[in-house]
Amino acid sequence: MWNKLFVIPLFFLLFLNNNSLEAQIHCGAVELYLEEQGNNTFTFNDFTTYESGYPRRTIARLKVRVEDKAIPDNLCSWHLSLNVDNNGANPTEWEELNTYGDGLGQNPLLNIVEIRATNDCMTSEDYTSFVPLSSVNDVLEIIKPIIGTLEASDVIHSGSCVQNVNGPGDFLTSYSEYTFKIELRIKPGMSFNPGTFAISFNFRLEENI
Amino acid sequence: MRKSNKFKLFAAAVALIGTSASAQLIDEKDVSITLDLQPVLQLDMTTPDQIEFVFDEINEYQAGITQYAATILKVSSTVSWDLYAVGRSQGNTATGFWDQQVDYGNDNTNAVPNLPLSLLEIRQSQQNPSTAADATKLDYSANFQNANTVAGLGGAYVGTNNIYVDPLGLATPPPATERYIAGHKGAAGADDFVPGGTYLNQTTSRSEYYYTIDYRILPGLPAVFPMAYDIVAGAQDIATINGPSTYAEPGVYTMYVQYILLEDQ
Repeated sequence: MWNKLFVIPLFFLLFLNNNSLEAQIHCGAVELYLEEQGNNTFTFNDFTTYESGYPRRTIARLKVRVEDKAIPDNLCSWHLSLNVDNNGANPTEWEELNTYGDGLGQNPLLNIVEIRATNDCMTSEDYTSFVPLSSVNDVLEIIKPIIGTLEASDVIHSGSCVQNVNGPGDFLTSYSEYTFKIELRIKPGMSFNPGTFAISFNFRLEENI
Repeated sequence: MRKSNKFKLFAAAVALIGTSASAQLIDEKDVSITLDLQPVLQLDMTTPDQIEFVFDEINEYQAGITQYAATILKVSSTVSWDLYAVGRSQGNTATGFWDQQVDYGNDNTNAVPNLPLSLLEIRQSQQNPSTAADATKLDYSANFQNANTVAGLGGAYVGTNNIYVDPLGLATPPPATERYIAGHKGAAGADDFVPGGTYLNQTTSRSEYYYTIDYRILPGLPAVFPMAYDIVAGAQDIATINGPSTYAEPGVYTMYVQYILLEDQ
């Protein structure tokens, strides 16, 4: 008798547990699609490019899809951030791949890069115009996270075409709010070591908790 | 199954449920950017194909001929750089002397064809930034000296504008004691080079990336070129290096000036 009383609830609990490993806090799913827009190598080989730089080049388009739970949770919302990785180089510099010449000068600094993330509705609060990078330790919030306790009033639903839209939705039904064009502006000037250098942008989509 | 074991199993299952309750959904994507900064080191020079000094009047022998701003040098560079000038010839009379193309006259034994390359004086339009920072680093920015200031052949005269001549007739960078137009020998100090930049974006009447060069040749009377001088060898007028009573044989002579822009060494 005791065996039956124990085993049945145990299987029931384990069944629940298997489901709960895939369960979420407020949303059913979050997905980020990244489409690169061609050549991401910026070549500087004459004075025009060195002095004027690349005024604007689209490097990627980000497409966001956030689904609510099957039983909607009115707190399902998300934020989108970006951080820069230079593979452990000086936090304010590009990663050096190789240098031309003696390499005795200064490697290029991150602040020669300006970035912006826009969509048709300009939903990003801080990155609708170009903003220079400064350090790999900085996290750039394209759509800001909710600080403190998450309230239903913090969720800004799609369709309103206002800043910080962060409710459930996707780029198929609301392209203007869930698609972000990532553009760079690079103007190196003539004071850095010649060579090849690299950085990586890490885009991170998270549900707010 | 003993009761105590069953209880432990039950507790573990409950604990598993408890720990799995906070799985925040996250998705990430990356894109990499490569920067290819190719070095550019460019010297633009505006100058006649040939700068001629024709001495056919007495006053030209005495006062010399100066060609003002005959050469304009414009630098654009993405690396730290040095710029220097070297006087060179083919050495068809001897290394370190002008090439004689034609001689006039009756080949008087005192008329010698050995005109030292160092008789050519040049003056740059503004001071070398390295000289401005450290007076021991010489340049060609001094005014041409008046011929009357020469204290005497082989005497106390010290040339300030004579072009650098390599002892072997090569174009290797001058040593630290010699003159540079911009930058200087060595890569240790900030006053040894001019940083990368270009004359294209100069905003004032002067630029570290733009120089005009004046040339002067002063034969003197007799034509011994009293201003010829070398920092190491001292006076190089014809009487000093060829013997008393010698003078320049009339004729046509040629030499060339090589301007060299290189990454700071």
